Amino acid sequence: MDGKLDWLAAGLPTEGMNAERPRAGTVARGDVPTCRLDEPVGEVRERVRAARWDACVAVNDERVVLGLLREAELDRDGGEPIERAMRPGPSTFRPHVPIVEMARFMVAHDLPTSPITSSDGRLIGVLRREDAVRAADQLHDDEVRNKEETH
Amino acid sequence: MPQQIHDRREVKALMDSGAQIVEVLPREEFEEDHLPGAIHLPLRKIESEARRRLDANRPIVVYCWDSA
Amino acid sequence: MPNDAPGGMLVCTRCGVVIDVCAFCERLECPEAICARSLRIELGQALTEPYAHGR
Repeated sequence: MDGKLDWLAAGLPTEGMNAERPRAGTVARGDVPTCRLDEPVGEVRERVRAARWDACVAVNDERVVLGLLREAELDRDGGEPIERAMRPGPSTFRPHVPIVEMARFMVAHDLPTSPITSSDGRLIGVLRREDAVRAADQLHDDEVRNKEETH
Repeated sequence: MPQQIHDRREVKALMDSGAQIVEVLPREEFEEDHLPGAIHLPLRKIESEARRRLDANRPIVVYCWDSA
Repeated sequence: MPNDAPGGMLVCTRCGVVIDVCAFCERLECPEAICARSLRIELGQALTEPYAHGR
C-alpha cells in the first residue's frame, strides 16, 4: 500500500475529524450516465437528456474513465463515435478531497462538473459545482453553529 | 523481519487479523484522518515509545503519507 | 502570482512553471491556471496521469 494517501484515494473508511466531513466522493453523483467508446454521440445524447444530465463519462468494461463529454461534446454530429467526440483523459479527482477545496477550485475555474475516481481510475461519480458549493456552505454553517453552541 | 507492503488489501487483511496499525505522521495530520483503529506514534517518538506502546508479539503495520 | 508570462504562454499561478493547459480545468487560457504538482499539493492528493487509465 502506498500509505495513507492510497487508502484515502481508494475511498476506504477512516477515523478522525475529516471522516464525517463531506468530501468529493460523498457529494459526487453516482448516477451520471456512462457510455462506451464505440457508441454514436446521437444515442448517448438522447440517453443523457432523458436522464436529465448534461454530462456523460466514457468508461471501459471495468468502469475506468477514458473520457468526458459535456454540452459541447454532446452537441456534436450524432453519427460520430464517442471516442472521437469526447475529451480524452480528463482531469479526475480523488474521493477524499475535502468538498470545500473542490468547491473553491470549481468556482475559481468555472468548471461545471468534475469526474471523481478511485486511485485506479474507476469512476465513482461526477461532482457538480452547485452540489459542491451547497455542501461547502452547509459545512460552514454547521461548523459556525457548533462553535456557537460550545461557547 | 520488516517488509514493505504494496497492496492495501494486504493491510486490510492484517487489520482484520489483529495487527497493530501505526501512523507516524504529525498529530494534526493523524487527527484529520487515520486508518480505523490506528495508533498514533510520531516518527520522532518511535524509538522512545514503541516498546512501551506496542505489543512485540503481534504484527505491526507502520504507515505514513505515501508508504507502508 | 499573475499569469502574464511572455509570449502568451500559460504559467502556473502558484509556482510559475510554464504549462500547456491548466491541470484543474484543462483550459488553454485560465486566469487561475495551476500545474499538476501545485494542484497535488493544494488538494493533498495524487492526480492520476490521464493516459495511465489505458484502453
